[in-house]
Amino acid sequence: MNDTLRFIAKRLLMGVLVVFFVTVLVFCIMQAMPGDPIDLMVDTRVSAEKVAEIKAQWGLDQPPVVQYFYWLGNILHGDFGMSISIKQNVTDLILQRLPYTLMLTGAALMIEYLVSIPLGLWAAVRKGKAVDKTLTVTTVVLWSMPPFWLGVLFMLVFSINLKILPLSGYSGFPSLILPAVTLALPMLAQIYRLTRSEVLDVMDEKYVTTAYAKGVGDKKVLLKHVLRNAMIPVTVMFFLSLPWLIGGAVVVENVFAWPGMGQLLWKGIAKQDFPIVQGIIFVITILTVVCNIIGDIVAGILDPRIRLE
Amino acid sequence: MKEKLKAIAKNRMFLVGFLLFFTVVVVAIFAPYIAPHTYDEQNLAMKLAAPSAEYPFGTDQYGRCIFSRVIFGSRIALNVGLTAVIIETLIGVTLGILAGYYGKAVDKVILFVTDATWSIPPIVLAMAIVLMLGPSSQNVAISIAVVSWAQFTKIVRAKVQSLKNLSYIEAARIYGESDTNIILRYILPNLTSTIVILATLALPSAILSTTSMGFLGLGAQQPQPDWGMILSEGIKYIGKAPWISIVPGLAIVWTVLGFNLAGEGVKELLDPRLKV
Amino acid sequence: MEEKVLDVKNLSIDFHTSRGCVKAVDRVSFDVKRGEVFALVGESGCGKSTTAMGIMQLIRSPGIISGGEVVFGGRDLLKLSREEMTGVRGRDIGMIFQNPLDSLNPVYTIGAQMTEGLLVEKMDKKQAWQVARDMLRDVKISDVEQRMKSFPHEISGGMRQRVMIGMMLCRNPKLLIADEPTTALDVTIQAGIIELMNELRRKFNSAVLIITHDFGIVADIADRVGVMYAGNLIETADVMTIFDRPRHPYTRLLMKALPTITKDEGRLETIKGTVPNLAEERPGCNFADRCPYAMQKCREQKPEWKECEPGHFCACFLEEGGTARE
Repeated sequence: MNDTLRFIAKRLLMGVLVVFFVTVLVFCIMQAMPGDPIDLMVDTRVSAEKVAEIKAQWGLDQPPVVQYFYWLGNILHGDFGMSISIKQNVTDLILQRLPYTLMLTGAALMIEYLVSIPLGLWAAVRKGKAVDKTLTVTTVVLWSMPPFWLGVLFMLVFSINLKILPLSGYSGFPSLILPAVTLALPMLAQIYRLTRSEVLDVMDEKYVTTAYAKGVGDKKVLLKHVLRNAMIPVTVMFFLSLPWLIGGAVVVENVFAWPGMGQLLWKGIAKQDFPIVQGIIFVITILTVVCNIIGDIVAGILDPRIRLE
Repeated sequence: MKEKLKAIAKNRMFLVGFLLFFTVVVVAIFAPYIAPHTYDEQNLAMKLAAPSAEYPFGTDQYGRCIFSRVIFGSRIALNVGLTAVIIETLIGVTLGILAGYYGKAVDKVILFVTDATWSIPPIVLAMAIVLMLGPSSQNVAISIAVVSWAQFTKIVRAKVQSLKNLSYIEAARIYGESDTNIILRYILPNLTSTIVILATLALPSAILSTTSMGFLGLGAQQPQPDWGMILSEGIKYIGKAPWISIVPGLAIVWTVLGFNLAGEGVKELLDPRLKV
Repeated sequence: MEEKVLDVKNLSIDFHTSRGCVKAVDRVSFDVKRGEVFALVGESGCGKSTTAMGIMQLIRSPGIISGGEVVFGGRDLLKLSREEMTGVRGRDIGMIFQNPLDSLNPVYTIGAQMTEGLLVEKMDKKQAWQVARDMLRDVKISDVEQRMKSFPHEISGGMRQRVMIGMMLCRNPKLLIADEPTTALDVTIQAGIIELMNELRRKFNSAVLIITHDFGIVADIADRVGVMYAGNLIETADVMTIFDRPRHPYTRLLMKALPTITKDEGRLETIKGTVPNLAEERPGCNFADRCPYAMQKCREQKPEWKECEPGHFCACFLEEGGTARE
């Protein structure tokens, strides 16, 4: 128990450090940005004194290090500042968008795993047979497809030609289907390949032979021994793949005009609205760091050997 | 090696991959001779025209030939992808060798930075970097490199750690060879196949990222024929002129699939057991 | 005549590889009697482990059982369906393997793995745990309560092998197959495992088929011995006879290659040449190329399996001509 707690504490500390590192990185990027944020915010007609006054008020006349801690302090209070282009509180903007992004990525994750794990298992059991070959070729092709193009094809088929699903935007569950499937498919290919190769590796393990020698039936060996062990790396992948999925969501949200954070980020970048960009990167990083920590802990639960190190 | 080459020559997937890969390279080199038009030639009388003999894949909203734009676009995709891979290989391999060879504090710092970089979604960080540097295909290459070197570092580091304990490298150290000498003369040559595999497998994903950035409007700017950008502009006309979006997408799949399959072939040839 | 627990007749196992069909096990026949320890001996790659896996029908692709019979309890196991064979494994025949770390599933506790086989028989969970606990005591594991909750990586190699033995004996099978049970263990621990196996087989009255390359173990535990070479069984006899008057030239050379305390010869003899490539079809005896007594006939025909004295079988032409005495 003590070991487990120490293990969790170590991962948490690491997570905090990573988040700190990312805030420094993001801050540096924003500092290096061309143009002064204040110039973007205020009218050109405002006098130089007035600009200096605003700068002092925002702490922008301080050296960068002081500015950083000023900014960090605000973030820790949940204050990401005001958006330049939309003139709204960034925290509110993000909170409005966050549920949609979570809904999209959550749905995509579910599709990914519910489809790829059974398929991977099936292909591994039928290794070298027609099913395995077909699935392998299909997934390589899927893996090579840009999600935005898949999205466009789906729109063409299901929204424009068949007219059975909404084209874009959010309007209830049916509008979730196309973006979620689009987001899930390329990653699904990767999880499928991992599951298949892990299952094949585990099938070669001696303890699987032991299970058979004990008189355990085929199905039980496959589920209780093979899949159970193969799931360890697959589960780690589940959590590690989140950054890619969220990255994919940024693109897919823009294809389907999905009202999530990705679209907001894109707008922020197009308009050089740095408080939005900072805020979103920060939130996304927190999300991935938390997921990675959960992933490590779940892996520790699944694999008793990890807890010892 | 010879036997492996034979086995790979028999594998239909790899063959298809090398074929796709080869055509893309040929098309990129001879683009001006293959394309019927230049990439920026406008024909305002033929806006959003459907595929015809003159415009095999139709035209866009300015009456530009989609076929020609896609052909010329292969140059941007390959250029940016290749530049990104070269930069990320340099960063990733250097850090991986340093971390693996020196260990201790150096290793810890590099490992931490690697893990931290890994917790920001690559495309999001790349977007922020392009925001800082300004949108252009060059900056896209830099941003992709900056977000994707971590994979190289992790694998190279592990490999160097195991190489370091080989008896002849240990002997060289006891003999008093300098670290630089050991790294350049003993360790680097042993890493060649790993680096080649990693780089070939990184190329398709770099190309995919390039087109994603182009799709978001952060890559090469008009009138440059960036595949991602052509595709994203086409969405506006998806009902009237779907070919604008479909054709560059096909080109992307063609290229990325070819490189992926060819990369698998290279991996099978050099080191089938490397886990990437 | 004593009751035969296991009767293997002309068992053949082929591996289909890209370089052709390898006859890993070629018409091997032997039997194991009730309460007896039969040792299958030979160098690595001679097909002894494959034979054991064939009996359990755990041969994996690209290997297939291409012929023969494995009679156990009056039935030919090779004719059983997959489900019926699953019922035989563990209940009638148990098997333990070479490397006890790899043989236990890393993610389950010892207790869970010990009871898994018992639960297959619809035994009550509490009762299964009790049986497992008693069994762990039988295999001389201390601190049983604690060990039931341990994971395989938390206990030593010797202890893991004891767990394996206990796991396979707790359903009281009529036959226990032990495939190199001590090879991966330290020499000091090996003796303990052998002693334990000797003790348990008396207690449970199980027949044992032990696969080994170590004549020391053969001498310690076996009642009868079968010697394999390149996929063929070449000689079987009881253990005293094999050590005392081996017939087949290969067995004799093996005996000479053994280090002994009594003979101080300075250096050990080795057998010249290498094991033949089994993917090539050869008309004669597989040992002919390395055999110091090889005759023209040996390269042209397969020697027949003959009883040269009561209970002593051998496949060699020298036996027929009676010229093999040194």
